[in-house]
Amino acid sequence: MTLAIRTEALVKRFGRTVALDRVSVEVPEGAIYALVGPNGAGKTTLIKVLMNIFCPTAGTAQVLGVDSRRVAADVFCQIGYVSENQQMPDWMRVGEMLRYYRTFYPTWDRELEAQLVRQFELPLARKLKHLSRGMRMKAAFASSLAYRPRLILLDEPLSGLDPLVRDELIEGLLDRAPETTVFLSSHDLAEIEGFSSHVGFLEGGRLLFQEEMASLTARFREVTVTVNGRAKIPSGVPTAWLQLETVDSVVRFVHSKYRETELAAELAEFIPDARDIRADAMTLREIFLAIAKSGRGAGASERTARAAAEVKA
Amino acid sequence: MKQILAIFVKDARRFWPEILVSFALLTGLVLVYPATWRAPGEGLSVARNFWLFRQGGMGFLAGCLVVLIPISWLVLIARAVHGERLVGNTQFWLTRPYHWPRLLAAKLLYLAVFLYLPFFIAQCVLLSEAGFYPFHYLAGLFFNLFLLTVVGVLPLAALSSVTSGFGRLTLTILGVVLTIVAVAVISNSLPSDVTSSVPDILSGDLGLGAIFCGSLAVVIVMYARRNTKAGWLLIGALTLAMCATAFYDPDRPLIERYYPALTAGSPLPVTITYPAKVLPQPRADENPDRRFVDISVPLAASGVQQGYAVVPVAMKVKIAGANEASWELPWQGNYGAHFLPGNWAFMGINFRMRRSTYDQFKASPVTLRISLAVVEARKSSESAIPLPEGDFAVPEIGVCKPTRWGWWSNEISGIACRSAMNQPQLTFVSAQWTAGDCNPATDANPKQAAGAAWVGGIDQQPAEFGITSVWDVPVPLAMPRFSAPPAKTGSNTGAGAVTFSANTGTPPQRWSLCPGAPLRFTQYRPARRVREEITIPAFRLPEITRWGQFGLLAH
Repeated sequence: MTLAIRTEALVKRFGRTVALDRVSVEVPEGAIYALVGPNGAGKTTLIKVLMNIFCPTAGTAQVLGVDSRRVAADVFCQIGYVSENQQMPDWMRVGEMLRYYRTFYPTWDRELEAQLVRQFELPLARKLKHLSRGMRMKAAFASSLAYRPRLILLDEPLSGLDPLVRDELIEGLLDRAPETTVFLSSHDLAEIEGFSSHVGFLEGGRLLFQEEMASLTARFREVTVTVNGRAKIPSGVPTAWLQLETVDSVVRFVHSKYRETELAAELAEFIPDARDIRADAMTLREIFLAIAKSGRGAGASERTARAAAEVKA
Repeated sequence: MKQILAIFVKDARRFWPEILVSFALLTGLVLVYPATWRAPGEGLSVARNFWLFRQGGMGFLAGCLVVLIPISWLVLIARAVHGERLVGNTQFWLTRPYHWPRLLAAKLLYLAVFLYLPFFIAQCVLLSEAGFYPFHYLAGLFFNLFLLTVVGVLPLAALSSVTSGFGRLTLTILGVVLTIVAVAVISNSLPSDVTSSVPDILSGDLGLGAIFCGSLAVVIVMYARRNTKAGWLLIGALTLAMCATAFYDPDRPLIERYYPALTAGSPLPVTITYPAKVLPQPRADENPDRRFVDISVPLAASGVQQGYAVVPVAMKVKIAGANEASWELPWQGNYGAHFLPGNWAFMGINFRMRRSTYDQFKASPVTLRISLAVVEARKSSESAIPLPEGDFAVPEIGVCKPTRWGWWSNEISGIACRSAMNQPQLTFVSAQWTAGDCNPATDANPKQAAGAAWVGGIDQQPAEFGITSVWDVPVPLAMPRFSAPPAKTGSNTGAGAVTFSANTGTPPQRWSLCPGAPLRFTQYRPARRVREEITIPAFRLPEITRWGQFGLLAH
């Protein structure tokens, strides 16, 4: 498997603050990798390290096979980067900006540029500083997609956008997806759930886990079991059972290693009088909440990491 | 090249107002500055009829422009560098395929087109307006551009590269300037018996080299690595190095090497003696800072060879007293005197010593040893020109013209010169003053007096740094306007002042230079630098003249 991005025990410190703590990320080529995590988790820092805006304190990071410290003009020709807090040449008109950037990219595709301008309905004659936030993002997307980059890095690109613009941008992105790798960060799980192929969860500077979306959603189930009489919390349950709780005659938990064929046997062992068994699929948001809560129930982020590690195991 | 041009065009489109202002100011200077050396009605045809050019105050306007132009350049440089800001991590260009050498080249191209080229053209136009052929001064013009780069463009580019905006840049410049001023004030307020710096031997080049290399290093570190911390460290180190020169003069230890002692058998450039009976008495004045005493020792200079002039530039004083006690004043500057062949001339050796040291040596006779670093300059050219009514060219100096008492007057009150790119080489100017109005009908046999002046410097480079390429050369011909004719001619002491007897009882009289009066310009170039030693045995330090409430009081 060829990797578009690979970091190994990556550490980034700002003074005494550890922004990234031994982060090891692997993004296969062709993937749409969503890096999720709360605000301040270190997502932007990781992306800036990958873009050689920040230098790693320790560990290594490779982007398209190049050490992040050596990522420069030649590599930037193959990377599209859009960030919610990136400045733009506001004094330029949209058309002027596209014309200006054209000279920097040997692979700039004028037809694709025109197509993106049409698709995003960009006002070429308007200055960037006079555009709405959504329109600015569209202009940023157009200027980062028109040269068919091998890798697209997006730092919270969709936050604060109205659903219509968000859909338009995702659509534009997915049009390019077959020929590129997408690595995007978000704190909004719902917005990336529909189209991501891989997901990584970063919290407190640590990557709690990363996995293919399909396998993640396949192995998480919310299991609800009804028992005879008042339910008691069974003891010695597998660590893969998260957020185990009882309400009257109902036992509920999140199974993080769900296998349809093995569930009945497991339940028979720990909840022998189980009847009415339901295993519901979970949304990404519910999965992350389950992981986060099972960690926080025990304490701090360190424990979340432990919970996530157990989940992974 | 495509990328360089793209960035250049982008900057030019973005910063056209700043560029336009800079052009306008330079154009203004080209129009206004020649008016400061021209009579009304002369000058560029465009400006000739413009009311402002016929008014006074052109000098003030030109002065304002000379201040405003560097400010406009500061804005041009800062805007260019901040166009692709190097400090921060959210700039649009950081994640675009910018090659830093091309980015830097684009900024250089921008400065070349919008700063250097207009400046070069303005300098050429000014030279041409002043009566010089610009292409004869290409070396000077390019040297001036180099100096502009070293003292202006590079340091400003370096400071711009480590700041995120114009406001911060302005504060940083203020900070650097205030630091240097504060250090200079502290250094000057420290009690010291050294009162002036020795002539520049190495420190000038060293300073320029340090600023050039330091600023260049900052610019390259910032463009290649965007390492703001390293950039600030370099700037801090450079500022500290500059401040250090306030406390340590690197030229002082080099004086004795640069001005070696006379070898046996080689002739003295000038004979310095202390004929106590002939000379005025030495003086000791109490300094306003009462911890110090200012000593003045007159010396006599004579024996300069024909075809030479001798210029003392630095001195060192050593006092040896009884019981092997001694005091030494390190080398310090001693400027202003020029000696020519002919009669002997006075020369004052002035130095400062601590009151405690003075008291220590006052009691008994001491041996006073004075070391003088002198430059022997050989006559390189001489021009004798009868004074014309209008502008006249003087070889090696430039263009001179007679000055008059006012627009209403035809009488010539002196001469003023202008030179190209710098002050001229050391030149002795002599003239013949005539009492009265130069009208033979009024006075057929008017009194006459010699006037003389020294202009220029000993070691001239191809150019001195200047916003204008034309330099005014003051020619302070000793003008006996309200004095009597000279009691003695040919005794040239001090900075070109012909001595006149103080008061002969003759009523004050106006003196003029008559048209056709002989003017002589003698130019000198350094031939030899040597050190001379004068020993005065059994010298008694003079009594102190004290500062009273109303000035100096005799002891």
